[in-house]
Amino acid sequence: MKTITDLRPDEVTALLEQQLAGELSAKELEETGVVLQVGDGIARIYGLTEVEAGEMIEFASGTKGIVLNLEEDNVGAVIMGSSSTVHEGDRVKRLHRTASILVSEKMLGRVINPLGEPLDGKGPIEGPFFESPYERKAPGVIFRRPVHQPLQTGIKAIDAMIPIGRGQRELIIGDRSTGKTAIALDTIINQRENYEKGDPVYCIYVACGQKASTIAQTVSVLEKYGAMDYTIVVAASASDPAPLVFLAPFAGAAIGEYFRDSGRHALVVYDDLSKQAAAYREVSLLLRRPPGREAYPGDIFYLHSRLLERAAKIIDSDEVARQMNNLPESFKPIVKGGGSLTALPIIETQAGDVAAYIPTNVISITDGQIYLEPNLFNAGVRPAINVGISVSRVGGAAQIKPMKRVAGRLKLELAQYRELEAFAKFGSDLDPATLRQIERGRRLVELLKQPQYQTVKVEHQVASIFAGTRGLLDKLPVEKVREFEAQYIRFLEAAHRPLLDKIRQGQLDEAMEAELEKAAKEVLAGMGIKL
Amino acid sequence: MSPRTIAQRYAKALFELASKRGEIEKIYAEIEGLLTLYRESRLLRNLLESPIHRSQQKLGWLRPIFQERLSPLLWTFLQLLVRRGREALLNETCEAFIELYDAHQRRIRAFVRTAQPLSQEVRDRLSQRLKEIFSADSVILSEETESGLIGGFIVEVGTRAADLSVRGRLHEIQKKLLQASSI
Repeated sequence: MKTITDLRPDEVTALLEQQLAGELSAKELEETGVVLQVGDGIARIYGLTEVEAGEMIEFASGTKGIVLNLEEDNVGAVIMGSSSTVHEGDRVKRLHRTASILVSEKMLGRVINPLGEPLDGKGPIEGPFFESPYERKAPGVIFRRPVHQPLQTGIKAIDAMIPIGRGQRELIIGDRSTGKTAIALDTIINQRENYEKGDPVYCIYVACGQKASTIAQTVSVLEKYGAMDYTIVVAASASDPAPLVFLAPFAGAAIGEYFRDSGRHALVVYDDLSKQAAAYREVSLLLRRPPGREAYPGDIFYLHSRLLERAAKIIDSDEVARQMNNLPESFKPIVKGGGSLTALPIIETQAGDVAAYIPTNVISITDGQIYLEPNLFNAGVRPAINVGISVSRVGGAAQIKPMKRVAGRLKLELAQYRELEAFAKFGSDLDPATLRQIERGRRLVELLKQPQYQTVKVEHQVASIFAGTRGLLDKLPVEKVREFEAQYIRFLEAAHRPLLDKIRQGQLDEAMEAELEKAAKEVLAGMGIKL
Repeated sequence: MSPRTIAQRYAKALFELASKRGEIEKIYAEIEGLLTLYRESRLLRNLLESPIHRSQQKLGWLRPIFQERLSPLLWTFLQLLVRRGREALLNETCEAFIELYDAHQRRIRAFVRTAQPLSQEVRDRLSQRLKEIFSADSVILSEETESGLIGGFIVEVGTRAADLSVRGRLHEIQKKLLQASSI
């Protein structure tokens, strides 16, 4: 009889080895590679002959990497994390999956890195997780529908003249410190209203190559205004390795797609893509891809176009949406139609040069741009939007009717004002009609000024702009315009709430206009102005 | 072109010529000898890799050593390498030749690491299994013991590897436990 006492330790080992030899199968014999060279966040690997581009690999230390280059006799990969843990001669394993991020609803309110790991010290992120690939083909034509719902930014100048629709891609472009991030943050803060109503627009703020202190400040602003409840911050700071910085926007898009494909609305801000382009250039040059214009690689346009194409408004039918192309396996049970992903990419220009390589690329990709000017900013026009060259190519369809009605006049009057403004500088000898136009323009510009973090509800925007374009403010001194606006809104809220509700629902007829006009006149009379 | 690719081209030419002349076995044995020499004689290595000396000079030094001892085909091949300035790739060329020869013989080379020396029985079973997996006729097994593996073995064949060691399994378990704690 065999008993346990008959066995000696070395025999056990021998028996186990025999069993393992029997267990050895072709599947167990994984394909591996050996690190030939490592440095600057890049590893060159010998072997891995069957690896796919974009596949995740794992180094001996457990650090992950993404394969970017397949060459004749080696594989180029970026290291996701510290390259000091990867050594020459290390074994590299394939993970047999395309690089992806694990998205969870619990990410809301958190600050994460592009790999989905928390950075805010609030403990691990809980599941359930959905695997969303960094690189995914954008939805095809039949799964989209034209933009038709507004995304209210809460900024008067934008919502009136450069309206943004859900699913749109609107570029925010301007020199350094002209208020680009401020516009994006205001837009995120303005989504609080939707969140409270139970129909949230989930926001993803991607900080790409920014100072860590700036990111911390942004997060604290979002927290202060209660915006973190529905916001995820994806942060890759300037001190992170270049691969992480260039991956950050893709992580943001992957998270946004989770909301989009589950039938909800999401807004993703890429702040900013010029730094991402620089990071991608760095990685590409290290991978020895040939440099092109300004040393950017040949596929820099594709980098941004494939990223921004993923912003989309999905068709309402759940049935059609379920057949969407390149749907990740984990999304399949939760797919719903009617979702949207709006993108607000940010580009920083150098000395107002919009004709540089990256700005022209992104301008041509997006559905419009908001152009911010330092001159306006310094003159106290904030937000410093240059209305003349800012456009929104599709958002008009998404504006509510009352806004369309009052904003049409606004654009026209401002255009005329800008034309005449040059004359006004010479002072004398202007005919009364011209003078009137200029005076009105000044008041409209004043009306569109708006302090940071103070977003305005759409019905209030309509009421204010109506007063401006109707010429009700012409007799009011310019410096009193903002005082009037505050009083007027307060008065309307107190005495005409039903009217505001109607405007909000998209109604504005002549009777209502008359009511607005009457209210404005009452407020003006209170300020001692008689029309 | 990378040095590896160049070496592969030369090796292939030599291999095809040798098989046409039916001298494969002989050339293979000589190549193995040459490789050992190259690896062990530092002087030979330095001489071949030296960028200072001209190929005529190098040939002058090599002739008395190799002309008599190598078959005419391999000696001509060596001369060709030196004249074309590829003598520094001798090592890679020899290795590429051996790879070609292995493929021709349907033979694989496996490297096994175990915690304790392999018993003949396990060795045979492992070879048998590897032959089946890679559909090879023979296996050249090189072995190494590494007590850190605790038990089981790691086997590598070319760029493919399987970690069936107790240490590897423990690492897997550790990773899974860590992952579970973060979910």
